[in-house]
Order: sequence, then C-alpha cells, then structure tokens
Amino acid sequence: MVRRIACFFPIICLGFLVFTIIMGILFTPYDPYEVNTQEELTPPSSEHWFGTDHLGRDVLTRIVFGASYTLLFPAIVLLLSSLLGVVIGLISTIGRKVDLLTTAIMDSFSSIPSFLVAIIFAGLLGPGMVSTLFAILVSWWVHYARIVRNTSMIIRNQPFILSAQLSGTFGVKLIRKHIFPNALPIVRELIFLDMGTIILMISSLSFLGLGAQPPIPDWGGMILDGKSYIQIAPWVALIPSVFITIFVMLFYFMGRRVQ
Amino acid sequence: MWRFTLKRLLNIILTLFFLSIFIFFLVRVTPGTPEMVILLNRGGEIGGEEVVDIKTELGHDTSLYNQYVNWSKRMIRFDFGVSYQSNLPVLDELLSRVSDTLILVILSLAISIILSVIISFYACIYKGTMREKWIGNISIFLSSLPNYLIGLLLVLFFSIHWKVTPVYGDGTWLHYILPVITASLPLCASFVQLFRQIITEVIKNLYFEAARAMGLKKRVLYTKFLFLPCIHSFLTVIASHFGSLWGTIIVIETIYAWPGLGSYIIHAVTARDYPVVIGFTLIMALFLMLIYFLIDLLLRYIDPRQTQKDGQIKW
Repeated sequence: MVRRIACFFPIICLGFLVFTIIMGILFTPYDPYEVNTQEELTPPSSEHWFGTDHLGRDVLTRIVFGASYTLLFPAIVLLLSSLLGVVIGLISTIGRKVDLLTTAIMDSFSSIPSFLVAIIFAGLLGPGMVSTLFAILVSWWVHYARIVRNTSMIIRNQPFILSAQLSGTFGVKLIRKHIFPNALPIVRELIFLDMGTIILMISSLSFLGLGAQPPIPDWGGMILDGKSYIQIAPWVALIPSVFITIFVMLFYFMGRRVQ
Repeated sequence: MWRFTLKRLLNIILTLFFLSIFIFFLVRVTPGTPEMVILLNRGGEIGGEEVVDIKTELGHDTSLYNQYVNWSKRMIRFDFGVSYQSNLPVLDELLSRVSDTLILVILSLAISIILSVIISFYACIYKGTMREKWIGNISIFLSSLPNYLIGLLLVLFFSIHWKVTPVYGDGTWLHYILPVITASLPLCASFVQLFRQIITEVIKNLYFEAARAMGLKKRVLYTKFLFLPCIHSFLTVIASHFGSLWGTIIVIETIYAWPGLGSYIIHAVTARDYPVVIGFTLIMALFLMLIYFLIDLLLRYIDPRQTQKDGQIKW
C-alpha cells in the first residue's frame, strides 16, 4: 500500500502545486506587473509571503503568474520538437540514401552540444519567447530523431516486418502501420524524462538574458533580476530557483515511474 | 581499425560540410544582416551609400554559390575574419580565452570522475544498506539542481556570509573553487547514477560470482573483476557528458563573471558578431568531434570486440 502511494507521489505533488498555482492566480491581491516603489526588496512577511523584488512586485504573485511561462511553455516546446524528431526519424527509414542524408544532418546538429545550439539560435534570432521556441526546437529534435531512427532500424530487422512486406505493405504504410506504433513507447518515456531538462534549458536561457524578456514573470528571468541583489535580498533569486528545482525533480521522478 | 578510422574521419568532414552550410544560411536568414551590424559598430547611418561599400568589401554582392565557395575556402584555412566589435582576428580572440574555460572544464571533469567512481563503487559494494539508499537519493537530488541555484547558494554562503572565497572574477586559486564545485556537483551526481547501473550490471555477471566464490582477495576481486570490465562503459558515459559540460560551463561563467569563452560568446551572440559566432561553432564542432573520435579509438583499443560488431549492423 505504501509503495502504491509512493508510486503516485510525484503526480499528487504536481497536481497539488498546479492547484495552488491556479488558486493563486484567482485570489492574489497583487498585480504581477505593477511597480510599487514604496516596497522595494522587502523581506518575506505575512503580507508578502516571499518578499518583494527590486521594483516592489510581490514575488509569490509573479511566481504564480510565471508558472505558465515556465511550465506550460516547455511542455509545448517539447511536444513540438519530439514531433519534428519523430517525423524526421521515420523519414530516414524510407530508404538507404535518405537515411544517409538525414544521418548526416543529425550528425551535424549533434556535433555541438544542444545547449550551445540553443544559445546561438536564441541569441541570433533576438531574445524573446518565439526565438526560445525555435532555439529549443532546433537543438532538441536530434535526440528524438536519432532514437526513433535507431529503434526503427532494429524493428525493421524483425521477422514481422518481413511478413508485412511479403503481404504487400511497403513505404509509408509500412512505417505508419508497423514501425511507428512500435517506436512510440520509447518516445513517450523520453518525453517524460526530458521535461525537466527542457525546463532547465529554457530557464537557463532566460537566466542568460536570451529568453522571455521583462516584464514577463518568467522564473529564469526573475533569477536574473534577483542575481544583482543577492547580497541584500537573496529571496528574490532563491525562491524562483527553488521552485524550478522542485518541478524539475517532480518531473524526473515521474519520468522514472513511467519508465 | 584502419577502415574505422578512415570512415570516421570522412564522417567528420561530411558533418563539418553540412554544418558550414547551415551556419552560412543561418547568418543570412536571421534578422540583422552583417552589413548592418558592421555599420552600427562603425557608427554609420543605416540606409546610406556605405551599405553597398561594405557589401563589396565582404564579397556579398556576388551570387550565393560564389559567396559560399569563397567563404568555405577561408574557413578551411581557419581564417574566420575579424571580429566586428574589436577588429581583431577571431581565432586569436577565441584562443586567448579558451585556456580559462578549458581549465574549468578539465578540473570539474577530473574531480567529478574521481569522486563519482569512488562513491559509486562504495554504494555498490555496500548494496542493500541505508548508506547505498542515501547515496542514490542524494545523487538524484543533486543532479536535478539547476546550476544557477547551486551557484547562488554557494556565493551566498561562502562569499557573502563566511567571506571565504571571492564573489566573482579570476586570478588566484581561490577563484576556482566555487565555479568548479558548481560544475562538478550535478555532473558527479549524474555520473554516480549511471556508474551504479553499470557496476550492478557487471556484478550480475557469472564470472564475478565465480571470482568471488574462488575466495580471491577483496582488492584483486574489486580491481580486476569489477573495475576493469566497467572502464569501457564508464568512458562512454563520460564522453557523452563531455559536450554538455561545455554548455553548463557557459552558465557558470556568467554567474561568476568568469572571463572565459562562455561569457565572450554570449556577448558576441547578443551583439550579432557573426564571425565570432561562426568561428566558435565550427571550432567547437571540430574539437568535440575529434575528442569523440579519439575516445572511440581508445574504446576499440580497450575492447576489440566492438570492431567485430561493426560488420553485423546492416541497413
């Protein structure tokens, strides 16, 4: 029984946190964008649970409102990039020459670490959410494409593919009916495992000043804002990073459970 | 072996070729053409006659194919042009900064390898005890910590509260402590997780059981029958983390205002200093691919069975 509860623990925690975030959005008395010069950098108190930042904005309110930028946005980015990766990975199984070409493209994208690719893209496209999306898309599809390609190669050599071919299934239909369904479980596992990594990557981009721009209450951007005040007001930077850590860890445990 | 070497070298050249095409077009697709950036850095006005001059100066007034051929000819000679910001050759700029970053990378990699090997063997030898469980839990916790949180906490406690180490910059050996710890804590934690899996796989093997049953000395048993079979997989794991370590080092350099390659690149990217970005990308790709290639050669030297497997993979 205990073990069964432990199994659902990350999901329960996530549900609870999402619930509190929605409650916060509904019931907070503060505005995440409103500048209040009278209450700059006030320490945590009963009025401001997590204190205020350098512009007098309530940190808790900003965290609650920033949750969609820090949690929902990575999920969308991850789904898009996995989709792109799966499609390209499946395309490479069509024929030998196509495979050579796609593998060469994959090699050239994965020859540089994906975070560096993301930095270069996000920087050259100019900071902002859209360029972050493109940056992660460009740097992350390779992982999925490679995994899908390698598993499809293994699947291709199995006898049931041969029998499908003998009964007259070729090309796109073969991939759609036989290879794709068998490669899907691995992709599903990977998406859960990668969620934390993508959250970390996007918040790191924001931390470097390449992600969502102020005044959007993105958690990575909040850490960047708070970094300059770390000596006098450590809560401004620490609280968003603690929240990111909690979510990354929950997603990690969830990924392990799915595995 | 020779065939493998030749194949991999050809692969590297092909990859660089594709990469160069991507970068060549990326620069032309992104907002802000090189001419604009140069003009802005020279303090000229946008929309004047000067744009045409700079275009001829850069050779951008010919066809795209000619541009690519000329450009790639220069790239092969490692001539990446001059930085738009400082007007110094890109290669010199990069080389003057690479040593600071390389020291961080090597130090943190070495420390995390040594520590994680010791810790993971300790955990596997004491399997089933509370100590092993705690090592597992702590390593999961540490590996999911974002490196800016570690950095901020370390600065908060060591530099501001206890005043042991300087907050940022480089110079004395004290400056190295915090960045290296920040880089190696998560790295070490993820190494421990992966190494533990590898070691438990090796322990399951019958030959290890047999060696244990023979009553060998513990030292011989653990070094010859446990450590040696693991080295191959350890090296693979380390190689796969080597590239991403450079990414984390960039974040760490910005936290500590470390005057290395990372902060320079971020600055160059945001200022659209195209020659620097291109030069950095190509050199980084070449460097990492050569490193992976060397590690692969080493792996084949250690475990020649891999060479036989090559022939079995068919399309």
